[in-house]
Amino acid sequence: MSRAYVFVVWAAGVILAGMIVAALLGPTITPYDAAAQNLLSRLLPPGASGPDGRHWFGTDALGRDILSLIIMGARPALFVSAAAAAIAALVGVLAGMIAGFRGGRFGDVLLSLTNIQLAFPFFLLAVTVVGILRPSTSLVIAVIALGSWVPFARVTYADTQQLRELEFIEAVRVMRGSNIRILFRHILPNVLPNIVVLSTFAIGTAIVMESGLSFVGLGVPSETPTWGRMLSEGRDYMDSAWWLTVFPGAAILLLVLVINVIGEQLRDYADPRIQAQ
Amino acid sequence: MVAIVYQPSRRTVLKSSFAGAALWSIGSSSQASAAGPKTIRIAMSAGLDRLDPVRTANGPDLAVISEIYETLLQLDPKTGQLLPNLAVSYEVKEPTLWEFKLRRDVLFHDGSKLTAADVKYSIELIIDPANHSPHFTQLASVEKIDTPDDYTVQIRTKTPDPLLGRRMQPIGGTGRVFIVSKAYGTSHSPQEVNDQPMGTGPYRLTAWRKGQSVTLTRNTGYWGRMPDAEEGIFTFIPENGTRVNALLRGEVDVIQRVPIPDVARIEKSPDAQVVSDPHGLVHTMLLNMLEPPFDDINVRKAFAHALDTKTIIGSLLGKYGRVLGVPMGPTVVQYDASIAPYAYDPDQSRKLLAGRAPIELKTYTSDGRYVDDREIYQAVNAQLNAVGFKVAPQQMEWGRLIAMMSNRTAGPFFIIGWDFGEDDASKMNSFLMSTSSISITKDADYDRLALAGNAEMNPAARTNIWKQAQQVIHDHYLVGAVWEAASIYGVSKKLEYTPQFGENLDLASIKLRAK
Amino acid sequence: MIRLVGKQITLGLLVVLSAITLTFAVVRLSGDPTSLILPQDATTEQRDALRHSLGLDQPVIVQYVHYLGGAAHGDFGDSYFDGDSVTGVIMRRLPNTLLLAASALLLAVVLAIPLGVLAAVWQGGVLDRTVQVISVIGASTPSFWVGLLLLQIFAMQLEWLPTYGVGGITNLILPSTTLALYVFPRLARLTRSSMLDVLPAGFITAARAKGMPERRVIWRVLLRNGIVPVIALLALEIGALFGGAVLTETVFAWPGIGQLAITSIERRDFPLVQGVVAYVALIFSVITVVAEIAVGLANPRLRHR
Repeated sequence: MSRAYVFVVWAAGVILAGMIVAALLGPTITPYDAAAQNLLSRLLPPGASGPDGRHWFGTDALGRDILSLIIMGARPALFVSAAAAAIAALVGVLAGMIAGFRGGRFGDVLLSLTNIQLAFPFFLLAVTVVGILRPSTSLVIAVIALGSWVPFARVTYADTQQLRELEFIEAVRVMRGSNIRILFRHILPNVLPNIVVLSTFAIGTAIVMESGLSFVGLGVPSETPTWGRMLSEGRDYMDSAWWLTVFPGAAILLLVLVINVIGEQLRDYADPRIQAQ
Repeated sequence: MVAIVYQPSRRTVLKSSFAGAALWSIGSSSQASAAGPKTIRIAMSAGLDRLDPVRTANGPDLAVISEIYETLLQLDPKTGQLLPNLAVSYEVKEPTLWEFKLRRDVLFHDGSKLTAADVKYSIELIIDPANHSPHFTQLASVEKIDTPDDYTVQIRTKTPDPLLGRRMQPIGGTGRVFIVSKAYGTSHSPQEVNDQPMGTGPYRLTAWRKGQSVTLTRNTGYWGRMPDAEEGIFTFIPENGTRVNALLRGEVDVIQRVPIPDVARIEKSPDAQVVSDPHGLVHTMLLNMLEPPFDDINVRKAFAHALDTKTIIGSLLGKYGRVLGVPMGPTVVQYDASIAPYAYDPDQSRKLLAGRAPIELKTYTSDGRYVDDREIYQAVNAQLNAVGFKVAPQQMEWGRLIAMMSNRTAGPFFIIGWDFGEDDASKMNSFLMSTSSISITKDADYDRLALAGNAEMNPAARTNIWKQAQQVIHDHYLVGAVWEAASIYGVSKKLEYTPQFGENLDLASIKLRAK
Repeated sequence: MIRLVGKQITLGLLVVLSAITLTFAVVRLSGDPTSLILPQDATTEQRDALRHSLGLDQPVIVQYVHYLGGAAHGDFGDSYFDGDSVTGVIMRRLPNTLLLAASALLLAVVLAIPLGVLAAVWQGGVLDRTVQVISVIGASTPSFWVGLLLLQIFAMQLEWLPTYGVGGITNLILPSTTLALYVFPRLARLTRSSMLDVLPAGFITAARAKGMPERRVIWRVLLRNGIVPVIALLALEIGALFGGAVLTETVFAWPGIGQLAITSIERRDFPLVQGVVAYVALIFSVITVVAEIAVGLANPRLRHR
C-alpha cells in the first residue's frame, strides 16, 4: 500500500472521529447558539462580522451561524443513519441466517423478495410514505432501514449457506447442538466481518438518503435544520449567497466520503483475496 | 503486468448514442429557439389543472382562463369600482333583483353570438351542486335567472346580496362567473369543454401540451381592445431559481413570483427588469379564540404588542411588504386607513402576562407556502418567548396544515393568506365570522356587523358598517398581525407591463415596446 | 420451467399488490383531501358532497375492492385536480422519465465500463487510482446538490445550456449527467473488480498462448467473461435511476414521473399517488420477473428444481 493511501485512510479516520465528537458534544462546541436567529445579521458572507461577532462560514437567511448549524447537523446525520443501518443489519442478518440455514423454500423466497426489492426504486416509496404520513424521526429511520436491509440479507444468506456445509457444523449437529446455538455461536461470528463492512456502507447510503428526503421537505424534524434541509432552504439563494448551499453539501460529501474510505479499508481487511497478495 | 496498448472505440458509441437521442426530442416546445417577435412567453410558478371556469379557482388556471373567457363586468384598479365589460350596464332594480344589459357585438371564438341564454347557463352551472364548483358558496344567494330578451339578464337572489356584482368581474379567486357558451357546453362533454375551451376573450387556445405548455393565439374577431401580443405561451417552472434563470437567459419573457433575493439579480441584468404591485396577498396571523389561551382578550393583547411587525416585515420584505392595521387589502372599498397597526410594546405584554407561568404554545408552521414564512415565524416566536410565552413550533406540510385548519386543530396561531382582489371587506368573513368553516374567531359584535354588512345594499351605508367592524376587530384584538406582500414579476425589457391586480397576471395588458 | 415462470409471475403480482395496498392504506391515513381541492372557505356541506362524489365516505374496504377492480382493467381512477384519467397523466409523463433514465444509463455505461476495464488492465496505475477515487467521491456526493451546482455553472454563469424543461438535446445534458451520477460510481467499480476477478484466472495467458492479438484478448475474453455481473447490476440500477429521477426532475423542472410523484403527494391527489406507485411497481416487477426468468433459463441447475 502506498504511503499516500495510508495517509488518506488515517485522515479519514480522524475526520470521522471529529464528526462523531461534534455530534456528541453538539451545542457545547458551537461558536453560537445554532438556533439563535438574528434578522440583523442575515446572509453575511463567510468571514464577515455581524453585531454578535465573526461568522466563519457566514450566516443564513435567518441570521443563524452556518458553522454552528453544520456542527449541529452532524447529529441527525449520524444518529439517523446509524440507527437505520443497525435496524437494517439486524433484520437482514436474521433473515439471511435463517434462510441460509434452513435452505430450500426459505432461501428461494428470500432471494426473490430481495431481488424484487433491489430492483424497486425505493426512494419513490420512501417519499410517498413519509410525504403522506407525518414525518417523524422514527418513521424516517424505519423507511431508510427498509431500503437498506437487502444487502445484509443476501450476504448473510450466501455466507450461511457456505458455512453450513463446513464439517465442524456437521459435527456440532451430530452432537445435537440446537440450531439456535449453532446460528449464534458458530455462524454469526464468521459472518460478522462482512456485516461490519456492509454496515459502514449502509451508514453512508443512509446519510445520502436522509439528505435527499430533507431536500424535498421530508427529513427528520429537528430544531436546527439537517444538512439536506439547509440545501433546500438555500436553494433560492444559490446566486446571491453561495455559502448557504456549498457548506452543507460539502459536509454531506465529506462525511460520506470518509465513511466510504474507511469501509473500503475494512473490506480490504475482510477480503481474503487481498490478504493473499 | 505488461502494459497493453489499447484504443477503445468509445467515440463511435458516443456519436451514435447522441444521434439516437436526437430522435427522441419529445414535445419540443422550442423555448430557446426564438418565438415570433409578437409572442410573449410566460413562466408560471405552478402548473395548470383545469381550464373549465366552472370547475376551478386556482391562480394559474384563472390566469389562462381570464384570457380565453370573460366576465360581465371588470374592476377599476384605482377605485375598486365595477366597470362594464360584456355587460354595458347593470342596475339593482330591487334589493333582490339585479339586471344586466349585454353588449350586442360579442362573438364566441366559433363565431356564435353571445346572448343572455349563455349568461344564464354559466351561472346555473356554478350553482348546480352536482358540479362541485369552487365558486358555489359565493353564488349561493342566486335563486333564479330570467332572460326577458336576448340581451337582458335578470338575477333574483334569495336575500339581498350586495356582492353579486363583484362576482361578475374576474379578480378575487373563488366566486368568479366567467361566461361560457351554452350551445358549446350542451353539445360537448365536460372533458372537451375543458380541453378545448370556447370563450369570448381576446385569446383562443391553440395548443395545450398538458404538464408542459399552453399556447394562446389572438382572437381576431375580438370585440374589445386588441392586445399587443399575437401569441402567448405559458410554461410552468415551480423551482424559483430555475424560473429566474430562465428569464435572465431570455428563455422566457415574463415570470411571476420572483423571490426577493433575486430582485437585485434581475435588476442588474441588461435584458430584464422587475415590476411589482404592492397589493398582493394579505397575510393574517390568526389566533384561536375558541380555546385557551387566546380566548382571553388580555392574552391576545399581549401577543399583538409583543411583535415588532414593522421591523420584521421591513427587514425581510423590504419595500415589498407593508404592515397593515386591519386584515384587508388597502384597495378594498371599505378600507379604514385611520386604524394603525398595533404598536410594538413588549413591556405592556409582559405586564399583561405577569404573575403567570410562561404560556405554552404548541404551534404548527408552514414552510414556503408564504413569502418568508419560515423567517417570520422564527422572528415572531423569539419575540413571543421574550414576553412570557413559550413557543414549541413544529413545521408542517401545507396539505396537512390546511386539513388541520378545517378541523380547527391547527394550533393556537398561524399565518394564512387571503386574496382581497375583489376589493370588498366581506372576504374577512371567511376567517372572522364564527360560522365560517375555517374560522377560529368568535366575536358576537363582529358577527352582528358582518351580517348587517352583507344585507345592506346601499354602498355608503355598507362602508359605514364595515368601518365599524374594522374598529371592532382592532379593539377586540381578533387578529394578531397583518401585512401585505407585493406581487413581484420579472419582465423582459422588450415588454412593458404594469401589474395592477396583485398575483393575477394579465397577458392582454402586456405591451410590446416599440423599437 | 413452467413452475419457474409461474412462480416468478406470482411473486411479481404479489409485489405490485403489496405496493398498491401499502400506498392505499398510507394515503387514507393522511386525512381528508377535500380541504386541498376546495377553496379555504368552502362550506361543510360542499366538502361532504365532494367527499361523497369521490367515494371517500364509504368504508375503506369497499373503496379498496372497488379500486382493485378498476385497476385490474387498467382504470386507476381520475386525478382529483385536473380530472384526467390517472393512466393518461402517467402515460404523458412516463416517456420523459424513461428518456432521462435511458440517457443517464447510457452516459454512465459508456463512461463506466471502458474506464473500469482499463482500470483493471492497468491495475495500480494512475488511471486505476483516478477511477477508484472518482468512484468513491461520486458515490458519496448527494447528486441533487451536484445538479444544482451544474445548473448554476453551466446554465447560469457560462450560459452554455438551457435552464429547464424538455426540448432538444441541450435540455437533456444537465439532467442526465446529474442522474448518471447515481449509477456511474458503482458501475465503474463493479466493472473493475469483475475484470480483476477474471484476469488472474489464466484466461489471458491461455488466449495469448493460442496466438490471439492483445486487443482481441481484452475485448473478447475479458469482457465476455467479466461482464455478466455488470449486466446483472444494470438491471438493478434502473431502479436506482427512477428513484434518483425524483430529485433530478425537481431540480431541472423535468416533467416526468418523479416530479409528478412529489406534486401529487403534496396535494394529496390520492388516485395519482396510488397510480404512480402502482405503475412503477408494475414496471419493475416486470423487469425483475423477466430478468429472473432469463437467469433461470440460463442456469440449468435451477431449471430442474
